[in-house]
Amino acid sequence: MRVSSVASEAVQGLRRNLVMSVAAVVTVAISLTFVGGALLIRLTVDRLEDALYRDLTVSIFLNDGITDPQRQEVAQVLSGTPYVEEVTYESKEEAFRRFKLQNPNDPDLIANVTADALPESYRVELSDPEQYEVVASAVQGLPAVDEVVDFREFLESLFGILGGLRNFALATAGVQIIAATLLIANTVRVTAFSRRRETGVMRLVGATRWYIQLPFLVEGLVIGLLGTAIGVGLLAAGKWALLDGQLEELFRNGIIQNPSYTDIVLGQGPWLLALGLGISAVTSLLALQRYVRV
Amino acid sequence: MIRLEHVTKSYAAGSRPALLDVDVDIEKGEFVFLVGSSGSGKSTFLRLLLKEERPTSGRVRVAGKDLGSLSSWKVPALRRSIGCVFQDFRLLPNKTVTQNVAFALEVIGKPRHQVARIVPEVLELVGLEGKGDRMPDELSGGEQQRVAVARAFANRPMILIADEPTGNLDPGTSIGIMKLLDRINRTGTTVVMATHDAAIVDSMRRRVVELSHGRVVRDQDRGVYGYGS
Repeated sequence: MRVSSVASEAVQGLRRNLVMSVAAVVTVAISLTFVGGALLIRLTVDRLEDALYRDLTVSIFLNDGITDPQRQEVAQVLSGTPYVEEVTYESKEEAFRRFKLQNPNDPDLIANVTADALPESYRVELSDPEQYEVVASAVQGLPAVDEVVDFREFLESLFGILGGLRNFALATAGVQIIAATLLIANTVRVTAFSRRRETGVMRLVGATRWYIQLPFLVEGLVIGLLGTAIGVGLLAAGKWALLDGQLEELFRNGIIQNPSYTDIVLGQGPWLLALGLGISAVTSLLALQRYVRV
Repeated sequence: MIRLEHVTKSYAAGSRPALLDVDVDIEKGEFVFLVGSSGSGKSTFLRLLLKEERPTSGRVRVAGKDLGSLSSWKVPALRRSIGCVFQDFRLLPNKTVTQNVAFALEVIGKPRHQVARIVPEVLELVGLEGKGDRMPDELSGGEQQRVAVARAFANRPMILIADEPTGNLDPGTSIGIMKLLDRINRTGTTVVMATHDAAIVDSMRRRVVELSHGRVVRDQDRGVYGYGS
């Protein structure tokens, strides 16, 4: 089997119906861009969860003017509660120090706050951050306890938004993949129709089914390859324009990580390539059933 | 070489079968004319030999293989042992004569050096030496059919099937094609030819199998086209 003749037949096929081929490539590219976008969102969320949950603490803020025994009681209850890994006490002075550290660019704010205005608290680290409710119900209602705050609640709403974005990207990708499948099938069929004399002769003289299908398979794979390359390019361009450009502030605090180009090209590229090639290969083989049946 | 045992072929349930209880045995090296009016089942007969169709009932054996139990991945091997020529030549219009013949060899995986050796040989055999670089539309009908014969015979098949090979040709040209098929037959190749051409059948005096409404109504050595002609 001659590689050059197979390749040239595939290229001829693509040129013969150029408009359809371009449409197929663009659709593959767009669908993979959305798939890649969804993957990037997931990657970001995973990293964020890792970073935040690793030292995620439940804060138990205490009332003003409580007695020592009352304070002890909270610590005792906490040490007897399951999932509690570590309990740290934070006094008003320590809270003030942390407050100053968290707002270094805001001297006016610091000047207006005194240590006394801030509540003392227990910071509780959980072995399983999902079990926040257990801790909350254990200490809620104790006379010393003012409020139990789980940082997860803040995060959950953020994750909710990101999850929605990801689902939207996945749904769009799904629709686009269906469109890409139909376009590739159509492109390959048009080529098969225009080459039906050749395939007819091939069948007649006893060429194998594999040999007959190969040029069409290659044609489909070229579409998949070009589409994937453009799709990855679009993702990188999207990162440059959107994440590095407009949403740049989102990443400045360092909590949410900006996905790198390496993430896009090396992390996702292979998956997207496999998806793009897989779709186009399966589609072009299925589209040909009618023409190569022996 | 070819054996049909009680073969019946119906395309759609309920309609008149295209072939009905056909029993034919063709020996190696025979030259057989398949005659009969349009719709008598000649084409179905030939398609069964290539396993392009399966019989509704009965058994088809070609070159020692029972086609009913031949798995589909072995069909290409079967077709490599059968050359085919058609009324409409079926040449590839965008390839030269040489390329057309070479194509049939390349797609079955013949190495390049063999193709380069076989193609001029077989073009000479069919009387087209020196015309290898022509395009099919630069050739006469008779020459185009010679290209088709060359393509069918290039792989030295055991069987050559010809479906009305002279149907588009004038009588003089037809004689040339028949001489060519006769020469191929003399190399030991079994030839099965479906035809309407009474003059050719009568002049060749070979075995004649006549089909009518799907039945074999005559099987005659050294026969003529029909009693009426």
